Amino acid sequence: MTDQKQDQTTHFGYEQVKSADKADRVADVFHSVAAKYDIMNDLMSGGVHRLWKRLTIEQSGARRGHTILDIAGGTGDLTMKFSRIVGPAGKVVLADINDSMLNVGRDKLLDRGVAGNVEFVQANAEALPFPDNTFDVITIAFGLRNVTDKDAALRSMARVLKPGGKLMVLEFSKTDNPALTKMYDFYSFNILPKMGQMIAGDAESYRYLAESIRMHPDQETLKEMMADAGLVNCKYQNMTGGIVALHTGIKP
Amino acid sequence: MISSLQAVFLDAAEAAVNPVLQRDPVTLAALGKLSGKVIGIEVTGWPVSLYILPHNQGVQLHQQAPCEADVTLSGDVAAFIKLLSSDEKADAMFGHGISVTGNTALASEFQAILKASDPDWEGLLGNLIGDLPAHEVSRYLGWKMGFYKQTGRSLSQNTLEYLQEEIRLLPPAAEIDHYLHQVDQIRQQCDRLAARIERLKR
Repeated sequence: MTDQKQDQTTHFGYEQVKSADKADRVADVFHSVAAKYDIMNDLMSGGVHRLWKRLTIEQSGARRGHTILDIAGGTGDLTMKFSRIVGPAGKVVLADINDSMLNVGRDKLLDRGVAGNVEFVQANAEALPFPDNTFDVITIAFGLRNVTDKDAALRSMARVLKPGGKLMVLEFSKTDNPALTKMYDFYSFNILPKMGQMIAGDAESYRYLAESIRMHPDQETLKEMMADAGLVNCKYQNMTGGIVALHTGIKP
Repeated sequence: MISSLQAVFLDAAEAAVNPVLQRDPVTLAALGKLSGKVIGIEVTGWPVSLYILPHNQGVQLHQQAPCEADVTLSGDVAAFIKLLSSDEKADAMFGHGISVTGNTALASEFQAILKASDPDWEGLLGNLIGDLPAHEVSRYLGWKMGFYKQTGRSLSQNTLEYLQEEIRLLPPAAEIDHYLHQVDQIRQQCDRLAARIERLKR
């Protein structure tokens, strides 16, 4: 790593940290929350995260025999459903940079009998260890905001997509309704860390999650970033008033 | 494109059906054997279709077909309600408003699995409120169900007897049968007479 890159800074929530340190700091957060990740997701979103993921799957256009990459797949919610869609002739790769999350995901999928067409890969989204033009669909759900160099990650995903393949980024975004924004802010900075403390015994990690959402690019910016990465027909769909947005782009 | 409401419906349906199926290992094993198959449901007049992907943990529901469905059941809402509520599902499915296209053997197999499923409701309830209370509730409900069934049967029998025998508002079934038989006989005699007159005219 060059000295120049070591000196560069990036955001870690509201905090400025060295770019080289961000991955480790994010890793600490997810090591801490991995075991209770599913239950916290249900509590934090009131179960709505299942609908966001459902909408993503239904719009993915995934078919029998497809090869699908679920980046930052965490505990495997998307992978599980994709695995049944692509069938034995297809393949789903669950990739996550964090081994704790990957272990939780792998155990959960195996416990539910999801095996045979699923592979588990510990990988950094910025430098995906796959050949060019490999995947029909790539999803990254609630993962992009934790990546240090988002542009590099988007370029890497575009590289491993097959021509005509679809990239889907499901991520927290910006609400356009002032009243909803106020309520959402209050919830994120007052209630969420307390819930994190009570359920997972870790308020700091959940405070980071709330802050990282605020630092993530808004809908239009992310759409431009996807176009800059070489994707076409980039568009987004707001969900729950813009709290979450699903961006899609096609590799030409 | 799928709407949020449809997503809610699909998720709620999965969340309702799968825990029930998971209490019945025999059904799960049978569904597991069907994994990889796609069963399509098309309701006349509904703009969207439903696709069922059976697997070893229940069923996965989709609005978009992952491939051409192995078998598609199509019919109107009434026919599907009849199929779901009927005790004789094979009779309700074949030749009564539901058309089956594709692998009909798969349709029969799926229908047989659903018919044979015997979920452990008591166990499911036990997870929520504890085994002992669940057992008591299920015993109470079983007794209540028996009571209501018995009461319903005797009520309908008594009402019928009152209407037929006491106030003589309705004729008894035997009388109706006899009357219909007589009408049939008269119709036949008329037909014979008409044929005879026709022959005498010639």
